[in-house]
Amino acid sequence: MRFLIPLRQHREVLAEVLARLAGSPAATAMTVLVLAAALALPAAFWVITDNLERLGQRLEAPGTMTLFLERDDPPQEAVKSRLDRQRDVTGITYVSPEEALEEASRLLGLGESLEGLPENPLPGSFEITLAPDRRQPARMAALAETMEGWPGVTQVQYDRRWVERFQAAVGVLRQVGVVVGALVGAVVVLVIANTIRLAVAGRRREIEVIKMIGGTDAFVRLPFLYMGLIQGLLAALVATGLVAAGVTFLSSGVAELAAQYGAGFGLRDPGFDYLGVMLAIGGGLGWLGSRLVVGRHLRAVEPE
Amino acid sequence: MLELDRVSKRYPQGQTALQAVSLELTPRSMHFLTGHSGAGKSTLLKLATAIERPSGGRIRVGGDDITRIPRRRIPFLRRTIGTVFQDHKLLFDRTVYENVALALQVCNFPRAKIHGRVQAVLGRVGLDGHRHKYPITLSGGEQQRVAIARALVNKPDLLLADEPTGNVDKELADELMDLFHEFQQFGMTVLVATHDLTQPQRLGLPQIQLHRGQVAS
Ligand SMILES: Nc1ncnc2c1ncn2[C@@H]1O[C@H](COP(=O)(O)OP(=O)(O)O)[C@@H](O)[C@H]1O
Ligand SMILES: [Mg+2]
Repeated sequence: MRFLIPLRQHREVLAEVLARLAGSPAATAMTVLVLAAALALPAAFWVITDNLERLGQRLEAPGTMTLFLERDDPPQEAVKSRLDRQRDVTGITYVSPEEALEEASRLLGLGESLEGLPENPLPGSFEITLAPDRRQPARMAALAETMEGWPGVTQVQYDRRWVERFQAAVGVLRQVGVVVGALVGAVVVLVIANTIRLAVAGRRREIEVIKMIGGTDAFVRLPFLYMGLIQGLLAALVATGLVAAGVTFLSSGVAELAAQYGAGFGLRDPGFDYLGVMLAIGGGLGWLGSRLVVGRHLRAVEPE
Repeated sequence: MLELDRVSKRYPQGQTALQAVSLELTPRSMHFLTGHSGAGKSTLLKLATAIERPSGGRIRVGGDDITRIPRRRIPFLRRTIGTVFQDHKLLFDRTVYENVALALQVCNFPRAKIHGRVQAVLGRVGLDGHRHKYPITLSGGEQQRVAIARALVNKPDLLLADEPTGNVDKELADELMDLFHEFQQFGMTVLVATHDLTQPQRLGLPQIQLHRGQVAS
C-alpha cells in the first residue's frame, strides 16, 4: 500500500518532534504542566476512592450475628454442631423461645402480660460472635448466606447498615470522579488541540511546501500527531508523579491516624498498572486532540 | 506530456482567468509561456499541479486525466512534476541540503539513497560548496538554484517554472534559463512562464502566448 507510512519514517518523525519539543523547553514545560495539573485531579480521585474502598473492606462491623431457627421442632443440636465446626465463630449462645419472649417483654415494658399469649410466637436463635479478624463485610455476607442455607435456619441477621452506607458513599465519590475525569478529558483535548493549532499556524509555510512537492496528508499530519501524543504522555507521567508525591506526603499522617483507631492502615501507592492506564489515557487524549484539529487546519493550507 | 483541451478557469470571485485554452507539450520539448501580468500564466500552471481546479475542459498529465483528480491522489501527481516559483518557497530554518532532501523524504525515500541524489543534483545546479549553508545566506540567484534542485531531485518528467527569474538581474536570468534549457536537453519536458520576451528569442525556443486568458497565435 503506497499510502502507508513506513516504520523508518515514524522513527525519523519521532526524533524530529522530540528535538522540536526539546528546542522550546519553556513552552513545552508550560503545556505539559497545565495538562499534568488537569490529569492529576481525576487521578487523585481515583487513588482516594481506591484507598477508601480498601478501607471499607477492612472496616469491622460489630462482630455478632443472629441465626433464627424454625419455630416447630428446630434441629437445634445439628445447627449447634455445624456452628462448632465454623472456624470464624468464637462464641455461641443459644437463646430459647422462652428467653426471647422474656427479653421482648422487658424491651417493650409489658411486664408479665405477654405470658398470657396462648402460644409463644418467637423462634429460638443462636447468637454467635466472630473472631475479630474475620469481620470483613464480604466475609460476613458470605458466611450469612452459607448459614441461611442450613436446614432449620430461617434467617441470619447482623448489623451491616453503617458499612453499607460507607460503601455507598465511596460509590458516589467514584461517580463524581468519573464526571471530573470526563470534564478533565475534554479540557486536555482542547488544550492539546489549541497547542497543535498554533503549531500548524507557525509551520504554515513548511506545510505549504511539503504539499507542493508531493507530501501526503498523512505525511504532513504525522509530526503533529506525535506532538500531541508525546505531550499527553509527558503530562500523564508528571500527573502520576504528582499524585504519588501527594500519597507519600499524606501516608505517614494517615498511618498515624489509623493507628489511633487501632487499625493498621496506610495509603497505598498507585503502582505500575495505574501508571500504564494513565499513560494510555494521556497519550490517547493527546493524539485525539491533535487529530481533531490537524485535519481541518491542514486542508486550509494549500500551495499558492 | 501536458495536454489542455479547451480549458477554462473562473475564480469564485468572478474573474475569468483562462478561456478555452488548448495546448499540448510533447515529451522532451521546452516552451515559454508568455503574456502580460494577469494574462493567466500562473493559473495555467496551478491547474497542471491541481492547486486549482478547472471550470471546464480537460487536462492530462503524462497520459493521466487529472481534470477531476481525487484529493488523495494529488500528492502522487505532484511527485511527477517539478515546480519552481518566483518566490522559490525555500524553508529558512533548514540548510540547502535539507531543503532539497525534503522532496525525497516526502516520497519515503530511504535515507541512504537520498544522500547521493541530493549531492548529484546540487552539483548539477552549481551549488556544490553550499550544502550546509542556510538559504538566507545565499544570493537571490543561488536561492533560485536551490529551488530548482529541489524540483529536480525527484527526477520528474515535467518541470514547470513560474517567473523563475522575476527576482534576479539579467545576467543571472540568462544563466538560470540556460540551466532549464540543459534539463530539456537531458530529456525533461519544460514549461517556463515569464514576461521576459527576450528569452525565447535568445534560446530559439517556441512560446505560447496568453492574452487575457486566451492563447494568442
Ligand atoms: N486566487 C485567485 N482568486 C481570484 N482571482 C485570481 C486568483 N488568482 C488569479 N486571479 C485572477 O486571474 C487572472 C489571471 O491571473 P494569473 O493567472 O495570476 O496571471 P499571470 O500569472 O499571468 O499574471 C487575473 O485577473 C487575476 O486577478
Ligand atoms: Mg503569475
